[in-house]
Amino acid sequence: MVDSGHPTSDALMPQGHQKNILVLHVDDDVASLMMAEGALENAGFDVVQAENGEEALKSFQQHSPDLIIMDAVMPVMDGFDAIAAIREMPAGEHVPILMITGLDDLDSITRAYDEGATDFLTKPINFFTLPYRMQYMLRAKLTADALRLSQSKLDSAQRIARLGHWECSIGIDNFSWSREFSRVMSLSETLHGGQIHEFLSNVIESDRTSVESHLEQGFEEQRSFAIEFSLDDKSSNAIRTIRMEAEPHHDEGGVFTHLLGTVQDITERTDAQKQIHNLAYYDLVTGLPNRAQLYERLENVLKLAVRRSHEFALLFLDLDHFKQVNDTLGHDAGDELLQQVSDRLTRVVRETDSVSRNTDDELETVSDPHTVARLGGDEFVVLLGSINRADDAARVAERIAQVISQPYTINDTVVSVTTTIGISVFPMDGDDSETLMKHADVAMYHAKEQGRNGYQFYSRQIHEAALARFSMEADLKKAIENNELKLVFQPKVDLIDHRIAGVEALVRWTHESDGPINPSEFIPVAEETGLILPLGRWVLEAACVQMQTWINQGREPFSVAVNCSPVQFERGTIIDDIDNAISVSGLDPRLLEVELTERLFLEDIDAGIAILRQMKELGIQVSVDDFGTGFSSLSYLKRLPVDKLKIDQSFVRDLEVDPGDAAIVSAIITLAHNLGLSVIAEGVETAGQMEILERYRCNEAQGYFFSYPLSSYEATDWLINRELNTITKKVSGL
Amino acid sequence: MTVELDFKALEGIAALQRPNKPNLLERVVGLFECESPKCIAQVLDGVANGDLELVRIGSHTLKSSSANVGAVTLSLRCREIEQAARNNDMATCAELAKDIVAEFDQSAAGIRSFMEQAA
Repeated sequence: MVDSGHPTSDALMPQGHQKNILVLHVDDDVASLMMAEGALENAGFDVVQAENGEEALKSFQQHSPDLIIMDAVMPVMDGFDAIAAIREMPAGEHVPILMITGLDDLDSITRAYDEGATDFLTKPINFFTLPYRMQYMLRAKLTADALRLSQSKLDSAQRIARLGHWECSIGIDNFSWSREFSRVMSLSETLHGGQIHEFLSNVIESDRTSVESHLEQGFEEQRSFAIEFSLDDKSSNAIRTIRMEAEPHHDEGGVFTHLLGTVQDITERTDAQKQIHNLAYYDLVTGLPNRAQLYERLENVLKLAVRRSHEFALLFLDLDHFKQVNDTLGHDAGDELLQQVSDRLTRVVRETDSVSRNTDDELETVSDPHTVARLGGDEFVVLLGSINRADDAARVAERIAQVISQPYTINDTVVSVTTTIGISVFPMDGDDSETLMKHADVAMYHAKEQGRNGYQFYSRQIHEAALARFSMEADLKKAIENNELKLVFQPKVDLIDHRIAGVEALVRWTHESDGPINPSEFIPVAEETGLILPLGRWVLEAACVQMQTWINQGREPFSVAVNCSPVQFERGTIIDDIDNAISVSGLDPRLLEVELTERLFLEDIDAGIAILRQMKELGIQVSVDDFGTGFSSLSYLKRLPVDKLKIDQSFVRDLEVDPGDAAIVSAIITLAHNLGLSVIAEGVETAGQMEILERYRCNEAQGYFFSYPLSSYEATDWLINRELNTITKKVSGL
Repeated sequence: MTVELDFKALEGIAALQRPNKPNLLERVVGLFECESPKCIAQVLDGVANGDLELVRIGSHTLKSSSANVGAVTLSLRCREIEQAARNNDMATCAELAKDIVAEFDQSAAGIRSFMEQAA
């Protein structure tokens, strides 16, 4: 008798269990049953027996054995049918079954596996090793159970976390993914793999390219990545936020084999983050940014303004008599009023945005350049992130005061409030957030002292300068309407025969109380306010009409030059303005010369050339004004369809004493002639300057040496005298 | 005629004996002695009546049970008969079955005497 050396099933028992492992042995050979029983019981197993398949099924249900040994060929019901039946039972899906088959009976072995056998053993059975085989099967079963449990825990955990995983081998457009991946990515749950377009089929269009390029780079550079994107969740018809992470995996030899990754639905997390952010940075009543966010944006605007050295303004405002609304109508009505006020403020600031000619790309891409914030109570702040000058802020303040003072309807009650606004401007009124806020606040109290429903700059100079520009704007508008602007004409002389070559028309404004105003003051105001459009149109028309009048009076025809503003170009009115001037006056278009500055062609040379071509089609002359002072690029000069260059007076002034200027003038003239352009010099004041220009073969000249700008009456006289002089010269020369 | 017996198989059965349980070897050999004639009868009846299925069942069962008790010659004989029955070769079955009774008698006697010696 051999007792020792047998394996014992005790070691395999789950802890806490006192029961032995139970083996169901099914065999029609009673001798085999007896011998196996001996062997198994010696090894510590309990054994129940059955002599055919049918008995086996009953015994299985009754005893729930841990392991089954099943003979293949038996009467009543054979082992194959019995295995198939057990596998159908709820508890029978995973129980290990050892099939006993005849030696060399390959068909039976194959069939046994097909029906669900775990392993097989051939007859004659070696009863000594049978317990070891049982033990091995049991261990495999426990491992499989643990794996299944772990898998099921993992599945549950992934489901709870809304976390799916995926895998893709290199160079194969074939992804495989988990069930939770399908759920997270809103794919059919029966789908467990596919190509990249299926993988990403619900990623919203605008994010898809980015996700694809991350995947491609992940493969190409064997790099891990993490990316968040939006997903169109078909089942709930909502947009969800998904985070995808991936890392490269390598085989044992270190060769990159595949990308392994996860996707996680982080919608709730990001929603919560957004909510937290909203609570921290937005005012609950109005939805406007609160003080914390205002300070944050103010810091950003401040940094940018320092770097770009531009100005910005803070408007500090409160509502006059808000407390009375609150007290009489209640807090809900007060909140409602605050909401309506914030809507109006936001609208005004948005309108400001669209009219401001701010082309600061960085400001635009960073965020809105302007911010409306509520500090609390009835206090608001408008941060104008970028202004061209202080009066931009005054314009916005005026508009705000006007819009806020319109009546409000709250619970069928009509309410009126006004606002008082204090303005501080960076950098004049402070160069840090605290100071600017404090000074805007102080300015508001000054404004209140002046009477409510108004605005006040912190700095008196700024306040007065802004007001002055404001009034100039209003006066200029009136002057244009009332035809108070006049043209003067400065003659241009042909340097070869000293005959009149033409006149340059210049605009003059004599203010009814302030006297003559320099064009360098009012032209910028006109350009900023858009008044330049009617002004420019009028100048063109008036100049052409005057020219045609001289021709009608019998003067020898010459050209009239008119300066045009870049604004007329940008707004696209210039061609129509020219067309109008020609048709109203009846002037031969060849006698009209339009002067343009170089800076017109800096931003978009192709658009500039297109407009120049249209001008040439109208038959007019085009000259480039102030040549040499700006950003002249000789390379584009030859592309411009222009007729003439005008040398700036700064080069002419020192022509006699500065050899450098003389060299520049000489070079410009030579260059222009080589390009087939004629040249005019402006600002000629002495005979010496004129002689040098003649020597350099400059075509024309203008300046005080020949004549100051003249009124139309003076110009007529000048023209008559000049004609007489020329005739006299000709006569005396004969 | 001599039959080959593998007494190690019998020793192996004896080694499976559990304490305080009926004698396992005695029971297995007893089963062999009383069940085998039934199998032999099936084989012979099958041959006589041209029933190949009966031949196959009888030879299959006896093949296993004789192998269990170390009756090597008898087990091999049964395997050949079973094979021929599967091949529908009745003539070979008849030829092979001629000596089956004698082989069983000799095997059973040999096993019994081994057990008496061992006891």
